[in-house]
Amino acid sequence: MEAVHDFIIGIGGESGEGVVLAGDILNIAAARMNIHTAGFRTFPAEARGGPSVVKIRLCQDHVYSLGDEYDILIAFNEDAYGLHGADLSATGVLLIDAETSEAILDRHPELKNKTVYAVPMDRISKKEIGDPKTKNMVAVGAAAAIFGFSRELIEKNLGERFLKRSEKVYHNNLAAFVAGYEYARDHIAKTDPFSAKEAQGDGFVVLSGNEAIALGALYAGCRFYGGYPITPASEIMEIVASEFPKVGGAMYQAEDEIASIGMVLGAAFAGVRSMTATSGPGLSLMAELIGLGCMAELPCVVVDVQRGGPSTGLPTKTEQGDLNLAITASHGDAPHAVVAAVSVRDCFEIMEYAFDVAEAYQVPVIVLTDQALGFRRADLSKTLLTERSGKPAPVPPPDLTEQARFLRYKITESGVSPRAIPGMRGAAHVVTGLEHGEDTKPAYDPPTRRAMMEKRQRKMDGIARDFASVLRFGDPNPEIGVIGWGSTGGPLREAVEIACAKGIKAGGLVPRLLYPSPNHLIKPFIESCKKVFVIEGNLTGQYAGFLRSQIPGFDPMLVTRYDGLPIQRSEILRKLEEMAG
Amino acid sequence: MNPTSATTPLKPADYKSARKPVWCPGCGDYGVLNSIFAALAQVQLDPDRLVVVSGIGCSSRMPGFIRAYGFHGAHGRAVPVAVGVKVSRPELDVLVVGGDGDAFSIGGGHLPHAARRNINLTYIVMDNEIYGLTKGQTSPTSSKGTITKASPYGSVEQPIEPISLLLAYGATFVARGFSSNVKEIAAMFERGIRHKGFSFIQVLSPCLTFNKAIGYDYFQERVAPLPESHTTDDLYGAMRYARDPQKYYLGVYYEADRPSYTDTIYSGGRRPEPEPPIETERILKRFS
Repeated sequence: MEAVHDFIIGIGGESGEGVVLAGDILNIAAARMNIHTAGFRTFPAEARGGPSVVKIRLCQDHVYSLGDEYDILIAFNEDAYGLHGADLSATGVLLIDAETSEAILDRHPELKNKTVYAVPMDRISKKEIGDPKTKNMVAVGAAAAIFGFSRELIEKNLGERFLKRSEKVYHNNLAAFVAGYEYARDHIAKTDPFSAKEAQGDGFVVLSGNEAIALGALYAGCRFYGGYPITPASEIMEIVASEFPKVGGAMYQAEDEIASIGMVLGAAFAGVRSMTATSGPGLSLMAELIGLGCMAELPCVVVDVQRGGPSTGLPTKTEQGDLNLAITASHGDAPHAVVAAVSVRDCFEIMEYAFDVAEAYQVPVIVLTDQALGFRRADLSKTLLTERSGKPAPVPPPDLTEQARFLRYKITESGVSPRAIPGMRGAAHVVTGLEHGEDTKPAYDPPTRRAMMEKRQRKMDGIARDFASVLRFGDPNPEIGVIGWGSTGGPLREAVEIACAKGIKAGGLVPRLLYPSPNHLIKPFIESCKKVFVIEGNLTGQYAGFLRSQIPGFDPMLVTRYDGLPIQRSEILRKLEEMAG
Repeated sequence: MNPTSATTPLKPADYKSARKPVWCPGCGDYGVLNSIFAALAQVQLDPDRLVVVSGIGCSSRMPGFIRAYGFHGAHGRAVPVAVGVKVSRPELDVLVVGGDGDAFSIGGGHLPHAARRNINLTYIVMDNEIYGLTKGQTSPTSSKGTITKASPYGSVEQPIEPISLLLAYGATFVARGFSSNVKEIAAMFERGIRHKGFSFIQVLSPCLTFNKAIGYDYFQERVAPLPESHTTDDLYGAMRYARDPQKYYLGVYYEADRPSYTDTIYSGGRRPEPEPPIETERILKRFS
């Protein structure tokens, strides 16, 4: 039997059984073995209780999606198998608690053709360890022994995690891990091919999309965060709260989202790179002040970790439903930018990009991610962090030699005016949300209004030109094209690459800059394909609708998903195969 | 506080910008503005390190008339913007100006939090008990019975009383003045600016255009200095005078010494200079 090194593990149980921790330990072990990973955990809608599941995909090469079915399912109890058994592949492996194994096998005849390993997780934790809470560590131990995770690396990790809590907690967890490991080693006859394979390297960091946003902001020189807790974005604020003070920055928990964006604009005016992160309901509240940022021309970044809307909607589930809101963002014609992160790695990198756009063109930039991406975990190269100093660059003082007085809203060809921040000599000025002349003085006369509207709008051409960022996958001369954005980008890439390997001339296009639209890069792709479809996680096809308004005559087919779950690569692949006929 | 680096002391007129106020004749805000000039000159604040923040309303046009950095923002959001300036650049001096609708109606949700966190800024509210910019509707401080186009049968609502609210919110400097008493309010502003923490100053500032009934005579008949027996550490006494049904007592109601937000989160009240480097090694360990 040939060993298979790329596989997907699912772990299911009741929340409180340590499902997430078990997943974390296996994920970190894989990262330390230099195996690329993608992981995901669901969490129940309520603060406590309910079923919990984590997914980890291991791959020798870069991973762009969570893949499809589980190759291995670790079920802490019968309910977990009931909930997730259907997602176990036909050749999959089930690892269960010995106490429930007979009942599960009796009731689920489909398991007769699958590999089932029974380990007495419950009994070992209770009888041998005397701590029922260590059941998850018995399971981790068994999984490590069966599927080739490094015992040594996990034992070291347990020390790092538990010794700071107490000697006893560490001892119990370690003993449970070892007992599970040795039980499986001595009693389980391995018949499956799945085996983690250690590679060369100095390991990865493993981050969730939300953590990557927070660290991306830190390394982009952001030093002020004003925010209000909201699922599924709060994790960003939590990482920021622990990291920003260490470099002299601040996380300020505001009284609401309107205050959050107000503070961010205040800090932006003061010359500090500043941001907030929220989800749909918060972005709705921020709309007016984002418009103030457009009018007063203040650079700042607003992250929207999208969830199912409208209203409270699906707070713990994913959707790409805020695009229309992000693009319109305010009353009036309000020039700003919307970018979308396509992966966990991109969550890190997009923050620097977003701040650069914001600062170069003095506009608010909205960064779209979503719950699925925010909670997805993946490996990132350590060099992403080590190659950056993350030191904020000071705002350069304006050149005051050429003009008698400083004109904060000077009309220029690019639309970008000189900027000054408090403390700079000879440049004191009043930014305002009122229409104004070059000298910031309120002005409502038609010629000034026209000139200022056009000046601000010109910045959009510059952004689309200077900051166009579009990812292209698959066949360079595709017949079938698929366009997606944000978190759909990963599954889209893999689906396109699998389709190409099957001989389908498929190409994928995933813009990171959504608005202003880099049409000069999108149009040639559309024109080069015989058929194009747009895939996105909302009901009405918001991006497809936007592209229709941007590219005359473009009328794509639409594949949408709006059930709270992320789009999978299998759905995209199926559509590509169907279209290839 | 940032003293000016000017070689000769700045005079009140030196804080005037080139722009002329746009208020109606007789507006109380003229007196407030002149008293702000006087207070700034008294403290000798550096205009280049002063940020004046406002929301929307007649009085919120004020930043344009002061020589300093200014932020004329959105209705009700002056305080959050000011907090953003102060927390991100704690070395700057921050003055917030605006009206009663801006402060207590649309912006009312922000006051408790800036006050309880003791953000080191000075908030001057020009209270004319009316919405002026929208041409006369009742505000949260309008008296019961106020007749406007939007309350043609007379307002049926109980007004709020700002001083007692701010005392309850935990503001560490709370005062009330009257726009005609320019010297008194200038001294109040000076104390507010010098105070280390959240300073709130309500100035009764009549609107002769849209709230004629609540004009100078109305206030003259009802204002009185806080009794000399009142001390500024007496919170409950301050509450009682603030809620007096007959009188608008003028003066400093309350003053407390409590570390400000930025003095608490930043050592020495300043962001570290130079900034400490990011501890990349620790972060790598934290996430691997």
